[in-house]
Amino acid sequence: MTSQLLGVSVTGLRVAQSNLSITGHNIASAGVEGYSRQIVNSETNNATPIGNSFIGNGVNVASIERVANQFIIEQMRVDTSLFKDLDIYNENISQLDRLLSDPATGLSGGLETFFAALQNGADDPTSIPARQLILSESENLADRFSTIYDRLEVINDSVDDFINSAVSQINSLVDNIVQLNLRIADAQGFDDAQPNDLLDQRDEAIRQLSELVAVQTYDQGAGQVNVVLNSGQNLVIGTEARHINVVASASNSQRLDVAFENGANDIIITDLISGGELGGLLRFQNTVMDQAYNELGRIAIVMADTFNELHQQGINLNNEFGGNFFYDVNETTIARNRVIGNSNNNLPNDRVLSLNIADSSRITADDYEVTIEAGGLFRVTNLGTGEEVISNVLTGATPQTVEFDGFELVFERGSFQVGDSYTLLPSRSASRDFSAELLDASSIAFGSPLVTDASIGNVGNGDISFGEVLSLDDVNGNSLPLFATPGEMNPPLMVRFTTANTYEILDNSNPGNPVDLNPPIRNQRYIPGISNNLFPSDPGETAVQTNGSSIGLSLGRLPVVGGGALTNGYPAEAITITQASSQPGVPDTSLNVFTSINANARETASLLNNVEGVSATASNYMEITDVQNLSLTSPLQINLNGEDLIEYEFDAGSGTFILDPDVPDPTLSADQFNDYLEDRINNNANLSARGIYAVAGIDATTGVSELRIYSTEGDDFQISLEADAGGPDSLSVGDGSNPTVALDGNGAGVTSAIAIGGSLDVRLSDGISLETFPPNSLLFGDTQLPGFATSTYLGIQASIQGTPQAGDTFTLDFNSNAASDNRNALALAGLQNQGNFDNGTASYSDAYSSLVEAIGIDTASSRVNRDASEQVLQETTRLRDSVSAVNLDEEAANLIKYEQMFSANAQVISVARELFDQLLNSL
Amino acid sequence: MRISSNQIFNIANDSIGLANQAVVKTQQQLSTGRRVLNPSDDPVASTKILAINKELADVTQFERNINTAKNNMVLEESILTGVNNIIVRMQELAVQAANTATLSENEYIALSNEVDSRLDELTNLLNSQNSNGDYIFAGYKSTTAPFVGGANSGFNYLGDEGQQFIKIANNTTVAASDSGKEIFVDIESARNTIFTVANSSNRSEPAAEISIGQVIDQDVYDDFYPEDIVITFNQDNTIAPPGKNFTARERSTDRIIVANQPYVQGNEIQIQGVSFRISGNPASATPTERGDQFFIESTQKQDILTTVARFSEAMKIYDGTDEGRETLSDAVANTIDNLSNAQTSVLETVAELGARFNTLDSTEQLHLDSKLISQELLSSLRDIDYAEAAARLSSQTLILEAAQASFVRVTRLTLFSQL
Repeated sequence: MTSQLLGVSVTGLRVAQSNLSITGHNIASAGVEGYSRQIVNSETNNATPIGNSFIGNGVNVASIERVANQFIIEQMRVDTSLFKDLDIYNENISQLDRLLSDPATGLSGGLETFFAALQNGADDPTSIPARQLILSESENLADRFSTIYDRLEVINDSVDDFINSAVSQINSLVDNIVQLNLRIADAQGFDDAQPNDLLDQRDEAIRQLSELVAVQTYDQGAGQVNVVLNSGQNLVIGTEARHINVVASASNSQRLDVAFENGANDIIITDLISGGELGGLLRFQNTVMDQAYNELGRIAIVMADTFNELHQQGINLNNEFGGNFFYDVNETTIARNRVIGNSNNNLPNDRVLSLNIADSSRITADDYEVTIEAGGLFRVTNLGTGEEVISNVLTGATPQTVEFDGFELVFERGSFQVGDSYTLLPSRSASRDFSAELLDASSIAFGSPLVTDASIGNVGNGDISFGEVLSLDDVNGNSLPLFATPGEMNPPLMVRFTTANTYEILDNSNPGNPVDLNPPIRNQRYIPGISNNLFPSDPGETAVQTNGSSIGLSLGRLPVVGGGALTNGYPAEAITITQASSQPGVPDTSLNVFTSINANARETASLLNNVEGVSATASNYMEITDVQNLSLTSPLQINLNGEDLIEYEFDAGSGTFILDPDVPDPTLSADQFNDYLEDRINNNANLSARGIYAVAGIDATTGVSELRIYSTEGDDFQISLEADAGGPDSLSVGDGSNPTVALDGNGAGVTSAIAIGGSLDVRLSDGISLETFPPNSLLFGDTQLPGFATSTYLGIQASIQGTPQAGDTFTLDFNSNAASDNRNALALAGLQNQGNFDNGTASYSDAYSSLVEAIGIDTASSRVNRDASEQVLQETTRLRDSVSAVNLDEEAANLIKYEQMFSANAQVISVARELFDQLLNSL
Repeated sequence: MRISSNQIFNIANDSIGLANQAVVKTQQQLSTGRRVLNPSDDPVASTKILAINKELADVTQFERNINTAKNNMVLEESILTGVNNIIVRMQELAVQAANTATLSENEYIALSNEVDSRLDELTNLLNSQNSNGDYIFAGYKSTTAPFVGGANSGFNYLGDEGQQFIKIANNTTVAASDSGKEIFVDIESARNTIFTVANSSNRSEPAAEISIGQVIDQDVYDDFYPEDIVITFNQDNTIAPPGKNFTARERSTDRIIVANQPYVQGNEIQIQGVSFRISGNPASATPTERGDQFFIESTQKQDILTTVARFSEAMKIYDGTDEGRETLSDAVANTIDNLSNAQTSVLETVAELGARFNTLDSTEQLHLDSKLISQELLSSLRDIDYAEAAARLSSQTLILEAAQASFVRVTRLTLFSQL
């Protein structure tokens, strides 16, 4: 019995010792990361049956367990991944947040001082120091752009470094987990024993892995766990590790991709990575960094482009056009660098593409991808929105251009092959490229090349505006002729009022003899009381004229003698107006207008004016020459459109109307007779009401006296001569170009009459064309001839207001030596607040503010998210600690408890010995 | 719930860390005086702050612009005052000169001498330069003196109609200069008169010139008015013997006034009551090219210098005869009218300057007001409320201290110390 007692107490001692050593282990490991406290499970030994009862045989250690909850462990990984992702994202975006808003580094300050300097210059355009300041400030602005770009590069590089180190850490953790899997499998080999500390180590390694990237685990059996990425890619399968590495992206070598090592063909998994620091960094790079680079770059592009465009239209102190103020956004190298070929593109590597800025106000801050598909189809996709913006077929002829979103993509040359793809980074590096180009203070273009002048001889009160240059280039980007020659305007222009309500614009190269422009700008309506724009402002507008053989007094027309209907002899024709479609694949729209036979120009003009995008003005002109053999007796009469021109007066003596004796005799002085007719026409209220007026003069080439009659409305002229008794009376009428027709009066009262039709000037808005049937029109001439429709766009604008009188002139010329002209400077300063972005809705500083705001909002929300996820992680950590971590007080209590247990068992042994001794002694 | 020793430390760590962060943030706000330190602190407010800062910078620049405009206009006004003084003196002289019954030829010579010296003074004033050396009445062409010529050769205005504008507010510009043409050239003349100009596309080198010209017979000219005369040089062989000759035409009708007149350099040419001289070597026409052209354009305007020069000229040529007396009193009457028109033009400009000053002043006042409002708004958006922040700081310090103190107390509670 003693031996049994001894045996029992020894088992107690052993269990107490185990407990003490586990307690010691717990105390010692209290500070180890990921350590789970261990407890000893003891159980009683099998009892020995004695009779009908059992005697206990002491205890043994059944197992040593770690106190861990698998659910909490997994929750910890998820929360860790989330927190680390948001934390590193927040840490990086906070840097941007500070960078962009810092008054010393942000762009706002640079823009403000630059425009302030510009306004100073505008205030004092001749001051060289003020101009010099603008140059310094423009360099300062360029520095700001490049400083921000450099700082972005630093942040980006550090992110790249971090990605590299995160990937190597992941690989070493993966190796670690594999090792642990192996050892755990070994340890469990005998009897499914739990290697608590190895399990802790593996859990800790997986937790550390989840700091870097979000992972999931599942049991493989035999104590091994598999680790997979959230998207399902294996990192650890039992005892096999799969390594990842960092490679340069095929579509853009500047960018890093994460890939599984797989011999020559890496498998790119960048898009599959989420969570953890790696996930957070990749997300940061692909969203915020790109946004910061691109948005800043877009500001640089728009600023340089809008500024250059305006500056090029101004003239500097040396009477030269301004040239580029900032860098040329479409410089060949820069335009080519915006396109990055995929490194997997088919050989040979001979393709050259470039991306130009066509309309900076429309450009986005997004990146694009061009892919070439079967059949030469190419497709451009916006990488920001994921939407296809345009697709078309490569014609094979290079260069081929395609426009979208304000960009112009040029396939310059090379063998484009199926499967090729290109990344377009329009604005990524623009803030680095941005530079100030001007070096010489006098070459800042403050002046406008246009100067206007009202002739000092003007009788009316017309005022011409200073005038402005709209563009130096036509719609196709070619220089417009007006300012193509440096230092002069070709031709100088003159605005001449033909009546108080009509004007014409003439080529004033020779002020002694201004001539029509091509296409002519004549018979323009002037409206007193408003500001009348002089020039077409639609760059795509064209003009056609009636140059057909039936126009005016066509060949073969004969006077109608002795009365009868008067017609102008114009044919009926079909006029087709076609509006070109703006969308590829959508057919053009056409509209037919039919002129009636003998229709006068006024009617045809009003028909055409009903068509949208068409504006027609009608006018008419005739000359009367060679008035002969008028005996100036009754019933002589010259009649214009129903109005008698020769005056009769009542003679009281004879009681009849007799011819006014004051009518001059044309035989004696043709000039005086013409002056008489001129007076009669100009003082006739009915004719004036219809816009008919006359000017007497001399034909500049023939020197023959003539009476010029104009109609500003395009009515037919119906002129008749009723002969007197003498004779033969005769006068000739002409239309200024065709041969004249003589109206001969033979015999008293016999009339000879003819009608002369007017002509049309038709202006067609951008995209509208005019054709006729038959194509070789009797009204318009050959409408299929190249150059039938000519551009009306001169690229300038000026306006006249007030009340000019007939004969008043205004001139427009090159503004040379205009040192004090600050019009362009004011326009440049005005760019500061102008909507240059997003189709005219945002200014430079607005665009920058929205970038700052967007990053600020992102930073603020990422901070909130980060804080929330931190709370969650802390909660889970607490929960885990609560379950698994060591409480030293508890261990101290255990220490005492097992110490006492040990003592008690020792006491039992001593009792057993005493019993044994007593027994021996008693023998 | 079971509390592990780790938790005791972690909780203390976390809470002390948070309290520390809060204290540091408040301290930073207090030391900079700003509530919004980074845009993320308040993204919406920070965009507004950017906008207001830009607005304030704009307004500061506008105030500077207004000052520049004012300086320019003060200079212009003082010169115009000087011009007006001369006009007043001229008017006195003209009234004196109207006294044709008593003044002798010599006295007229004396008067004309004073007029001439005043004319020089006036020319100098009209060619005034500012501190940059710009001619302020030259329009845009401010690098060259705008008023050239003299009493004998006639005056020319070489400037243009350019007017410099200065931006004084968003969408508001104010004229900071006036062109000399507007003030001194476009002056209503008492009678119909002329101005002469050579065709800019003339081929002669050096360019042949035409003098300023005079209307010598007002009645004849009034009949002809408002026609312009075009002088065109013909081919030399148009006349016999061949030589330079010209034809005068009416511009609007091309009618010939006089044909094929032989040209003698510098000789007075009289057509339709107008007298002028052409000098130099005008290019003759060739079978393919037009000869040099000169225009005598009708106008109802006469510049102030010509008015004064014609006044002096009239007194100089006075010969004491009755006929001369009549011409002179006619010319003097003309001068008095023209001077008064010139004065009106100058004073109108001065009045306009005054109006612009008012605009500048009121805009400046507006800027001051809006600056105040902007600054207030800026301060309310960006600046810290010191009282609130101070209170916040003390409460945060209290929390921090409590966290620290309690941590020390809690960690002291360990069973091991009792063993």
